[in-house]
Amino acid sequence: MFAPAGVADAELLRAAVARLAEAQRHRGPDGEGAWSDGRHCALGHRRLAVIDLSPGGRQPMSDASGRYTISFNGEIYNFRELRAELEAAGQRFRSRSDTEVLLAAYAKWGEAAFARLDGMFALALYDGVERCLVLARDRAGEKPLFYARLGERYVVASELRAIASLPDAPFELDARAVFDYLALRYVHAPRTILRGVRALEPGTMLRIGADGSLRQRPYYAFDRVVDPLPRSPEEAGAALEDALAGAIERRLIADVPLGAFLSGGIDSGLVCAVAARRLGRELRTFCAGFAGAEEDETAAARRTAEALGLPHRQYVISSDDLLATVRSFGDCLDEPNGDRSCVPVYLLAREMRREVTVALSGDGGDELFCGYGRYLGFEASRRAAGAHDAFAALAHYFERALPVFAPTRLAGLFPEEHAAWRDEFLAAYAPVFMRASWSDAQRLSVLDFHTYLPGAVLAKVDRMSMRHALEVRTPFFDPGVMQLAASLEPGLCTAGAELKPVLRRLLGRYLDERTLEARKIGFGMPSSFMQAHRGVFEDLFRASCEVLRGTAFFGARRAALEQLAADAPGNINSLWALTALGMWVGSTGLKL
Amino acid sequence: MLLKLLKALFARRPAAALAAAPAPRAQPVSQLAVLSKLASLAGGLPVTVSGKERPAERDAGGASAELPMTEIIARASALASDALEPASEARASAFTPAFARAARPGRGLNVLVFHVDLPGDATLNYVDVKFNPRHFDYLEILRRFIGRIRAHCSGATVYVVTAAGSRYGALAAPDVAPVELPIDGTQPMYDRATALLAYARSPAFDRDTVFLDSDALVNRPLEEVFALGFDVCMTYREHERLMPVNEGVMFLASRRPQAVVRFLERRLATYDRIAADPFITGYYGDVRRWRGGQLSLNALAAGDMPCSPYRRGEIAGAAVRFLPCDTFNFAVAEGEAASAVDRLDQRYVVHFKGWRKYAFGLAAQAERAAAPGG
Repeated sequence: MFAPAGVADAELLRAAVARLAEAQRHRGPDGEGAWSDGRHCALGHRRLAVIDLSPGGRQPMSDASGRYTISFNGEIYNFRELRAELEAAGQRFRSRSDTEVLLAAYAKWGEAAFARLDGMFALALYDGVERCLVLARDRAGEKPLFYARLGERYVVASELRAIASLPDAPFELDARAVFDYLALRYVHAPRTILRGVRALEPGTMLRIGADGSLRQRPYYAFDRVVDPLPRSPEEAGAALEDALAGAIERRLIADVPLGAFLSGGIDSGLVCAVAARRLGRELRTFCAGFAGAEEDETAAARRTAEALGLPHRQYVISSDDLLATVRSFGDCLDEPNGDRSCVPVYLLAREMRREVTVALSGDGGDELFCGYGRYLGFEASRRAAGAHDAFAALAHYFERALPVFAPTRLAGLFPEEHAAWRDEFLAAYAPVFMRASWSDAQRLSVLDFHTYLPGAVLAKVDRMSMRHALEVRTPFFDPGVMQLAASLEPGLCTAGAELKPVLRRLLGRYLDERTLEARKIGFGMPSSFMQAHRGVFEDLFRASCEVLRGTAFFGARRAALEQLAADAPGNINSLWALTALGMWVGSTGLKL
Repeated sequence: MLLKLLKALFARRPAAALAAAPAPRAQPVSQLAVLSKLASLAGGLPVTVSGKERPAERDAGGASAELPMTEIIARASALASDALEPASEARASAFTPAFARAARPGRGLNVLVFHVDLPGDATLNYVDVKFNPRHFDYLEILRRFIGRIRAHCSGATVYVVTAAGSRYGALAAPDVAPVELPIDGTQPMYDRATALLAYARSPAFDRDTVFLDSDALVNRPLEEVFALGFDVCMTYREHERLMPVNEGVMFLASRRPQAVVRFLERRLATYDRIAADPFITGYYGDVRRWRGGQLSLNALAAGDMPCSPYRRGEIAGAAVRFLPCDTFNFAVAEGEAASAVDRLDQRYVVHFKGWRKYAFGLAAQAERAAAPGG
């Protein structure tokens, strides 16, 4: 909480921060801390102790001079290298924690420090001399950071609900965010579903000055290289293996038990394979399946674990467990997320947390190395549909390949604005279809990296795992790995009908053909499961629609909502997206 | 003569163009291949340039004397200002009537190009650029420039901004309007920035406008770029030794002309302060002559770096976007992937920077040879 002009009652500031921290208790069960300068700034922190379990790693943490104080969520994987560099420059450290290194790095390099970090983080750092609050978020958007201006105060939190829990906060649904959610299944930063609350975009920092001014700037921008120098798959694979090994090694630094997600897919399999074979680490691996489902990834995951000699646990999600969770799922959603794999990830993370505190995952592999099946055949499909220019191609992707509610369906809800909002969104990303030399798969992967990945995938992974205080680390977001992925030629991103050929061939060094050829199924709630429990899901859907009808926002758009509700059951994504929105609204207790 | 020029070129290649290229692994493009492709593009006839390449002088330009680009831009950024010097205000105001007189009704884009001949002995000899303009026939280059605009931007009007009484008045045509200004030959880049502001303030700025270097050939229709939604759009490249934002291609949308004017006023005001700064002038010399136009843009854009085509920014109230040079302001360098020159058709603008301008002469030579009796 930052009040640039100062507050008359410091106790109010501290009480608000305590409330924010309490609302995020699940993210850090190992301790809590609070700090205040008594007039302008108060910081709180919930600690999940992973590195340096001693009190030396406690937060909020101030530097020796007392000028800087930080509250930091996440991990800095290259903190040892940074620490060595800072020590060589004369810096002395009191603890083994990465937090202290982060403080010293900012004190030494200022805002330029963020570009030096390899990590997942969201932080708030107060500079008592400049009297400014600096916020920053990691490159890919693994850790969330929300902020809002409430009167003369700025409030910052890792979760949207924490901000929404503050008393007398006049929140309402943001119309543009509702549009985005219904079109995409998630809300795209910097917007959030609540008007007035903003999400800091990945790879950016924000400085709130002593005069209350905001200055945001990027420190990282992911993009693919145009016309990269050609290299063979073997050469690319070898470079990737080295980069990935380094990334995994840095992500295995922890003073708590470690494990890994292991599906039947390429990405998590490769992370586990490099950890086991190249680094000789025996990670506990975990997978989940669905009782009664026609197929899932458990068999393939078991084969991979056996081939790598890794201990493996499978959690079979029962109908009862799944349904019980689904019924109260609104409480688990920090913000609306229509991804159907939220519930299974939530349940698997719960089981994993019984054995490990940190887990590696293969997230990001699909966006960086072109792994989604929807990329294949897209170019032919859009050309056949006459979608030749950039705007038409993008529209084709969102309305055909990733349909939730087509913008035309949303016209009734937002008759005045929907066309402009749609065009604005398309215009933001149209350059992907204007770039020279890229394949359509590369274009879509860049688009997904900036939109779907942080908005849906990483939001899901963070919120579902942190509900149980399970820290998920993703080696594919190592800066070196991302740079390597960005410099691959089109033919190394997709080769004919083969996705991610570089990853696949690299994994082929560790696993046999049968294990490699396992069909990707995904981890979403199976449609067969939803079909089998149709009555339950219909009840949930009806209840959600009822909640939405009761809001001022949808109440004023009643006819359009009824039309959406009538359309939704025709598409599983639409059905679940509207259900999740209603469950979220109903669980917040906010009068929206 | 051409062989001599090529030798001169390879002896003085800008070191900056080499530094970013990763160690070539396979099929890097050669200088001769680059010139062949560019000459073919410029003239429309297939040209194959042969000869012997000289080894690259990778350290040319005195890398040890170079300051980090981030340091230079940070300094320039700290000088950003909205307060236009009275002399600059007066000069811009003096330039504006010429644009008002030249304004033409039309339906397509406006394209603005600025070119003045430098004094006969002028050479550019900077840390990262060494250049002798006398090696090139700019009248010929501008004819090709205009031809490419006619081919790709239907209905466009080209404003050729030049010095009073210059030979470029000969380019006048129904779709080409020479604008003669009292340019000071000792500060061409400064007058270019001033002229751009004067244009934006004039009635001529009634249509979406592309500002191009004279050696930047349009290669695809540019109208669709304006659908991306901005007031000002600049192009950028990632190279630790070069300024990220390149001045050679800019898009100015006419939807909110006052926003563009405010942006260009801040740009010129910042230019004023940069040109008076001892640190900057100690490093670059007189930036009114060269470098200051680009540096002032980078000073304004510093808060948006590293640039991304997927982010929007705001400068002086103008909505700004950045588009990558690899597609929108393309200047292929030797050592890059060979595929780069095979995909010139995918580039919106191909920029014949520095030594690449020799391709114009090669194109002309090929055309003469192909002409009856040639």
